[in-house]
Amino acid sequence: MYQVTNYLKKSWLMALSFPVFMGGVMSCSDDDGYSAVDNQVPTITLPSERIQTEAGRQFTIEGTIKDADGIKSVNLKSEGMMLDKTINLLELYDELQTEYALKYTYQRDYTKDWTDASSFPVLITVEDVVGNKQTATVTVTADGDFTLPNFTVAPSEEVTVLVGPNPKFKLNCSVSDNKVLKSIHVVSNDLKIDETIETGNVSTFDLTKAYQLPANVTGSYDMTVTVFDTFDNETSVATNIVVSEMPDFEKMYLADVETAAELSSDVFGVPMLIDHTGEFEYTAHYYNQKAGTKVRFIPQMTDFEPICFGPDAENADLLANNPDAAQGIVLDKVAYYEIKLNTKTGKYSVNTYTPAAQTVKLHGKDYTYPLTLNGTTTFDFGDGSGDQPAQICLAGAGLPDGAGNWTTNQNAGAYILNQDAKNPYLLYREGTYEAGTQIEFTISATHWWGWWPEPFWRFDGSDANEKNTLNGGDNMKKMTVPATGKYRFEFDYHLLRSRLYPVK
Amino acid sequence: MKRYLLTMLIAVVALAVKAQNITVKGNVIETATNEPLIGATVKVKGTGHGTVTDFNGDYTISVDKNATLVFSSIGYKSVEKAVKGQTIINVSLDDEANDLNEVVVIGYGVAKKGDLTSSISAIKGEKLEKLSTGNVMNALQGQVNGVQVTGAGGPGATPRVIIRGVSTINGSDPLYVVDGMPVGTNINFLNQNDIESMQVLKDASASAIYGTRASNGVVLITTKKGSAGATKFTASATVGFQTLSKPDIAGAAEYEKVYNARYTNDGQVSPFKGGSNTDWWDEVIKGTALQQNYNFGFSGGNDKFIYSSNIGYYRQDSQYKTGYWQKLSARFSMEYNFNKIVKAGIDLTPRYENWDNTPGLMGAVMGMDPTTPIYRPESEWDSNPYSHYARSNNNQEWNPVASMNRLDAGADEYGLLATPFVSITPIAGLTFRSQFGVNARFRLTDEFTPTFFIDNLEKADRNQAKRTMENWVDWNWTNTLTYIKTFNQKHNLNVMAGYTMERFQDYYLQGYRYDIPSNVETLRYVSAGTADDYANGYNSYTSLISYLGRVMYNYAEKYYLTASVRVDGSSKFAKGNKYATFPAVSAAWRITGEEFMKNQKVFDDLKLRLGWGKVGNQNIDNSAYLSSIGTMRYVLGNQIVVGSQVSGIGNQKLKWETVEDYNVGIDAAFLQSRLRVTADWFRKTSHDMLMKKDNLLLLGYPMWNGQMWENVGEMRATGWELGINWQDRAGDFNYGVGVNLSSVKNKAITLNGDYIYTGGHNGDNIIRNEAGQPISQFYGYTVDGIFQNETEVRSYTSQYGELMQPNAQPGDFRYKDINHDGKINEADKSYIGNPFPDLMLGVNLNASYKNFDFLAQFYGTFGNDIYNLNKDRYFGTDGVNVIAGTYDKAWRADNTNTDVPRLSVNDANGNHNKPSTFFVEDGSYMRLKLLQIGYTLPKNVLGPKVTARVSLSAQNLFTITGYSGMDPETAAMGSVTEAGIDWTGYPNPRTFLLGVNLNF
Repeated sequence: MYQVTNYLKKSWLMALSFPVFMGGVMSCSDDDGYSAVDNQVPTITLPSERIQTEAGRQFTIEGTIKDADGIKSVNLKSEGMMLDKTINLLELYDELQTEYALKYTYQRDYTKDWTDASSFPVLITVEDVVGNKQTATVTVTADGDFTLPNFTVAPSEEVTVLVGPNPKFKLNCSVSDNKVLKSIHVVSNDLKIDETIETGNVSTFDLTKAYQLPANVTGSYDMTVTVFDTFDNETSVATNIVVSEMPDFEKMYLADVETAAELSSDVFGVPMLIDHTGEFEYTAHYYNQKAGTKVRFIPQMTDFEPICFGPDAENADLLANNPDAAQGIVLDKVAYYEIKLNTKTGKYSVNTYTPAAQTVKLHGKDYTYPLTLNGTTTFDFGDGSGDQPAQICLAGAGLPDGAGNWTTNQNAGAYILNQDAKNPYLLYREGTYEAGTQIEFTISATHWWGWWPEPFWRFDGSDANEKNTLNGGDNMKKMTVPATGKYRFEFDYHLLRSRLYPVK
Repeated sequence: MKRYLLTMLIAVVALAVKAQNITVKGNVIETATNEPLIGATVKVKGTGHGTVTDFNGDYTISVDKNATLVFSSIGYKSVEKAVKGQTIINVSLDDEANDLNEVVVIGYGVAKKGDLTSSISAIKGEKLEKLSTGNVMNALQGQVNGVQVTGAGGPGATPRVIIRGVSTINGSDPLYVVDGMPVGTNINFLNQNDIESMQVLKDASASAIYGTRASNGVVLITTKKGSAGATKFTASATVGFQTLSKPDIAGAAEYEKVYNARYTNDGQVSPFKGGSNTDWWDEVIKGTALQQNYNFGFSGGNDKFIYSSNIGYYRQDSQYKTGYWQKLSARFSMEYNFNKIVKAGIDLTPRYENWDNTPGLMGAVMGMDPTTPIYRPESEWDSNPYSHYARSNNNQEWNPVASMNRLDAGADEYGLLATPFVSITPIAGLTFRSQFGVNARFRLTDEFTPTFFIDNLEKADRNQAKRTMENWVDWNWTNTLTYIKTFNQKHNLNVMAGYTMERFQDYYLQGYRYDIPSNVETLRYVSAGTADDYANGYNSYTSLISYLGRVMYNYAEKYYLTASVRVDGSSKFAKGNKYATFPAVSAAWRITGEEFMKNQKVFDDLKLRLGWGKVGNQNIDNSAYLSSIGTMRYVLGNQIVVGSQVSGIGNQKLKWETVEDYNVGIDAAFLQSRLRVTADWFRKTSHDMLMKKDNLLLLGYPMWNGQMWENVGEMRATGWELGINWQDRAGDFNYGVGVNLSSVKNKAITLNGDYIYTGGHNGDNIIRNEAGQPISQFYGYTVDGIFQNETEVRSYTSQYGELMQPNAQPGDFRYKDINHDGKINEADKSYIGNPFPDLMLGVNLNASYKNFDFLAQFYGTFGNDIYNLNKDRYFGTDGVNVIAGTYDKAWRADNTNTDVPRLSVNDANGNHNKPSTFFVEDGSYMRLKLLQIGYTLPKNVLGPKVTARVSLSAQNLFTITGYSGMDPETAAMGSVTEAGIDWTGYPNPRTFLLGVNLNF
């Protein structure tokens, strides 16, 4: 009897407690066992309902989300942006989050094709752990301008103007903007110049203007040129104008292009550094690929102004130093040329030559220049890998056409160079490069094992990678591709010069 | 007078005895087969008087009418029959196999099976003969639980044998001991027809008597011996053929389709060059390959002298159009009893092996471009026939027909195993035995590489002739003193003490030259080379001396205790660490021997076993403790000069790797012993595991990859085994079912903090060994489906919007962000598969009815994973051919319901470069390893003295598996640290054989 009574007591208590318990569960907890605190919908606070961006730019959707019950997930959905992202906070955090700072960046690659008219609503849906949901919408438009204008042609960091009765600095620059330019601001406190040139509603603008410098006085003057777009994004370049007697320039470059723009459109190697052989004396060795090419010599890399050496238009026997007067030396043969010049006397000589036979020692064996590097002969590297096709590649990063990463293995995508049919010293290859890509490489023989055997060529350590060194040298300095397009890489193992420039 | 009377008395007694003698006749047959037993001994109990049965199993003996006759024959239970005046007594002898009195070989001695206290599995040679194979261990597969045998397929290939899991990274091969002579870790040389029995010592309490080399278990093999009686002859011939299942590889049309799609899907122009439609499999692989096995033997003897001999020939042809392996072996066994005290004998096993290398071209055959013709146009041929072949149009595979036809490599090997012994028994029970065994092998290997030019990337500019000669001469001197005595009929004692000396010698010489004037066969000698002659040679020795002892005691065959100890001294360790002691203790309790079990009817036998022991491992370089200097060729100036370099760094503190083993087992018999069950649980733990550590910068040696052996690791194998056997008969129908189950978990306890990575996969590794984890697990990314559209790609980001797979496109794999850090990198790898099975299962069925007999052996593994590299290698990467159906299976915008990623030439997402779950498949399989049907001809066909049996066998007839590769068994091969990766090896062939056996 006792047992029966006891049993009934227990059953009665259980029967009473069950609905209370179940009611609590049903009202305060979801299936995952989370209890509600206030059972309210989450709050979404956005800094703005509109995000203005531009094509090719990444942007960030920001906001603050709060929910006392605890946030379960945040979903961002936009059909036009092909976005359906759920941020599962329960998975990301060990602790239940009651506040979450949304900071979601949409990558620039996906905005490349947007136009000013592009506009996309993004639906933000927040769910808390007990199932309450809240939504908000932010609209993304692509009509902004967040890109800086840039100089496609700019004065060099330092330019030299010869002292005289009427010295002038000819400012020669080209600017561009992805959208609309507003003005160019030229300032030189030293020369008391503070001038704004309106560009009009254009996206490119060329400015050529001569500024008078103090007569018959040597000196140094700073000048800053700033370009603005209509969103007041700005870019500046500074140049130091040195007025002096003709200096013995430490470096002199051979320019085989016609315009200043072409001097800046390469990745590296244009213009080409020549040898400084004595005081005011320079010797250039150059392979002329096309009869009729004109070459000039400049001490600054990015412009023919203010000093350019070339046969004087009025006396072709002597060199002029004024770009207006200096004509190009016409090279009328496809051949190697040796050009000697004296920048002080203006004397110069032009001769063709054939590179002398040369013996080089590679992996302990003698090889005679020119080498056959088209894969029809072999190297024995002496490392047990057997005879391998003698061919040269670029082993590096940022190379086009699916080239392997830092490999010389022809079976793993080594970027193998072609050997010029007329000039065995010239190796080349053309490919399409993406703007902004950073490039670095070593010029090396291929190797099945991916090694970098002799012969290999590295660089001189200069920022512009101006010379190459056989089986030695420094690592190449990384270079950035200025614009997407087809480029041609050339390397001459006789001249020990290489360059990567756009194909016209 | 007294002398006269005594003489008279003896004469009277003798006449009286003579007067009571009667002649008894009868026939002795084998119970299982009803076949006459030839040469069975019929002896008058308590006397030396006896006879043997003739060809018909008949005997005649004159005995006292009250005598008792004892009928015995090796391998059968003895039977005693009281004559009681009968003149005809027919006897049927039962096979001893199911008898606890069966004698089994243990280390340095024998014991009754019922007296074993440790885990030893025994199998008779006749069972191993059923399967025709080059290596008898293949026949052991599924027959013995706890022994994992993985077949390797090709001619002369050695199977992988793992006994009770893996407890060390230093090899898994057990120690093989043939007639008391340790012969290393490969018994390819052994003729399976020479084997009388095989015992597998599985736990340390059994194997510790072999101390240093027993950590992976010991396999004791006893070859056939003669027996007293008339000479018996046996002859057998097995001939058949084997076939390989042709893999389903794409033809030219699908290959082209896939090739082009890989480029066009990546926005590139396909450089495809079409042409022919070549079936490379058919060009390289034969439809059938011959297998032959012939044996002829005889045995017999008398009270003084017994002899046995067999000559066997085995040949297995390669499934390629070149390559074979053959061996001719003989065995002569003789024993002579000089008197009751001295016995001597010798086993001589000369052999000759010969093979032409089997090509390893399975991968090239499957990957070769099918649009490439075998030969170039005849107009492009030159005088060198090896240059007539075509270069692959669209990938870098070398022409497999050309590779096969260039292959000219093979070897001859001569061997002799001799184990002479002398045995002295000065007093009853005490035996001194001394055996000096020699195992000598001489191998001559020739290899010729011809010059040829197919392409700049497929050529050999210089030919080369190479000869390698290697001799191995091992000797072993074993001396044991054994005392066996029963006191008071209940105290049974077996004591053994021994001393052994062993030496292993390897002599190596190799020479080669280049630039032989021509590729013609008559000039393929080293001496014909004209340039760059090279020679290498060395001697290598190791030696071992051992002191050993064992005491086996049992009380009334009820309580058993065995203790053994072995002290080994090895030349592989430095002074101070040369010697190590390996003790073992085991005990057993026969519960059915107790009084309280006398009246129960359930158990016919029930025995509990417990064992503990330590065994060792010394599988390291011979000179691991010595720093060594080797030659090195340097280029100085323009000349190559021979100099010296530090070639090895020794560790003077090296010591033995020790494996400690615990075993609990139970043996039971039910239903008049028709049902037998054996179960064991074990745990093996290695201590001071020897590992060769890389890149030890602390060494300070001028080596870019300093390596040194160290005692740094600890591993553990834990598992269980269950064997169930049912054997019964119903009238003329005999049948039996055997099931062997075993399971083992292998775990690395410590690895000195290092990971061990193995198994290369496109610059990454597939396998990682880590302390605290099961060994050799696959380690990679988890594929979480395929991106079906651009929205899924763009939305697979961190919470901050950073793309987790920036190079992905729809159709690429989505990898799981295991650690939720919003990045897919090394930290998202996890263990994605285990190459070792959860369960190994062998099922053996046998039956006979009158003259017919039937045998079926199934074997399978369950729960093991295989990393199927074929899914990478034959998916078009680098332009190789693809598995048929690849184009249809691959993801496309109009084919999204698939788990195969899109075709891509760049594979920027790394679908095929990253080790991932995509490649991991369940490697479980169940295979009908052997199906055999036999028929014994009636006596009236060939006469009463001849027993003839013909049989038809099929080996590897079918396999039930979900694995998509060619063979789940060969795919599971590999070393213990690199197992379960399918490298497209030579699969186990399906074999059909016709056999004839004659006994006369």
